[in-house]
Amino acid sequence: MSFRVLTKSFVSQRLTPSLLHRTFATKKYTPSHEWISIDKNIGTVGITEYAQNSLGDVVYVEVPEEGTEVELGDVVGAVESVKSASDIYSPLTGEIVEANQAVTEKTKLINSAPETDGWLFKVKFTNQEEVDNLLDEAAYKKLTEADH
Amino acid sequence: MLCRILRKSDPESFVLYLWRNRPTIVIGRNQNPWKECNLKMMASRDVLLARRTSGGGSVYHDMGNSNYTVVMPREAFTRDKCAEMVSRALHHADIPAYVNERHDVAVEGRKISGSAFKLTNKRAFHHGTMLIDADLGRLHGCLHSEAKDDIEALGVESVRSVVTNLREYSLSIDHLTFCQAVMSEFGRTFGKLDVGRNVTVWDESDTHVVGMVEEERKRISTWKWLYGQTPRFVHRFGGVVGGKPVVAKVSVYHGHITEVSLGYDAGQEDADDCGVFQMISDSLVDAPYVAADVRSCLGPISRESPTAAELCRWILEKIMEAASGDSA
Repeated sequence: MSFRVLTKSFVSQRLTPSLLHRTFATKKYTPSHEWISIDKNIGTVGITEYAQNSLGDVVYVEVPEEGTEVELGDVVGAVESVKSASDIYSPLTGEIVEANQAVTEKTKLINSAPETDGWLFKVKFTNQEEVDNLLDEAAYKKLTEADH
Repeated sequence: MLCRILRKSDPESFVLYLWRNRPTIVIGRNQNPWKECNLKMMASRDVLLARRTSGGGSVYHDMGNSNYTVVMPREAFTRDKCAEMVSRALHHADIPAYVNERHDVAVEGRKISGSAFKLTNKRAFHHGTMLIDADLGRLHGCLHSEAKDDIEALGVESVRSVVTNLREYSLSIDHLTFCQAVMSEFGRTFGKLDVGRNVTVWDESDTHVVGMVEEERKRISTWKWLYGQTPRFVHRFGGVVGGKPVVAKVSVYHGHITEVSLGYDAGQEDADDCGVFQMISDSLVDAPYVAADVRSCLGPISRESPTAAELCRWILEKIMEAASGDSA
């Protein structure tokens, strides 16, 4: 009895898109090969698997200072690999609320886990439009396939 | 000028920039000048310090070294394309140059050109040195810091190579003939180059050009860029002061001292010693990692007691092995 009641309750509750957004972080991308995992108003940023593959062995990582105010497109960090210094850009306007210090000491995390443990920084953003303008996974995949 | 070309040139264009410097050690963007260079020796030989925006290690420039830079669309970038272009240019002068596994140009196993790269979201550049007739004697020793083994640093260390001048392989090559050879090969590699329309030559007497790059020149001359850009590092050293073995650890970030830890090796500190150690540490926090600034912070502390004076003298002596650079 109770089981039937529970089942009926579950079916009648609709999973709305807003509920989905609150439950799962969404992942977006930039044309300059950063990924951003959006969770409420915090974006966690790193470089993609595609980027680390083309960079080679990473020997130095610079992350932004916590508390820094940044604008979309600002250079906020750097990665060096095989004598190449690459700029890292902020994909969103906001405040840097956390930076991954571990990756500055274990730089190879960028190569081994670029989209998980190799995250670079978290930015608290206020402009949803900037998020909406980022690439979704399909669009980013198309971009990287076009490069080949 | 290079930063200006990077920012202002047509994103789809390929730009070749050929240039020379007065005697200068140029370190990579993410290097430590105190670990890489003998700043005292450089000052005594009138060798300047510069930090570039590209990666890689330390190189020596003087008027016997010619530099080439190719700025290109980001998607056209590969690490070897431009080095191969320069090698082919040298083949026309009968110099058997080739690109080695480190993307440098070499002749008979000896490096004649070092490479470094910069990647932005739309553009990239490759630049390299070319030792034609550089004063390698003046360079000798400038890239050996006395504190090298005592400094543990994040960032990039140079990889030492045996270098040589092109003069050993050609009596006729010079800056002008090198530039002409590279321009020809650049045209063959990236597209037709109309020398009359697409080539500009200038030097320091071209005041309008110098004016265009003044802001950038000022920025890269600041202490904040030259020294403050240095990644986090720790300078550890030990010695005997007042008959007791003492160890020190100086932590530095953005070119400023963030923490100093002092102690007698066998843990022999008494309350007075701890007091002196704390005074020394407190006086040095936030000081630029420069001998003159460290001396001025330690001055008042050295007058506290004979022990304090000895410790301060020793710390200053050890820091001077590395930190003889300009004041902040």
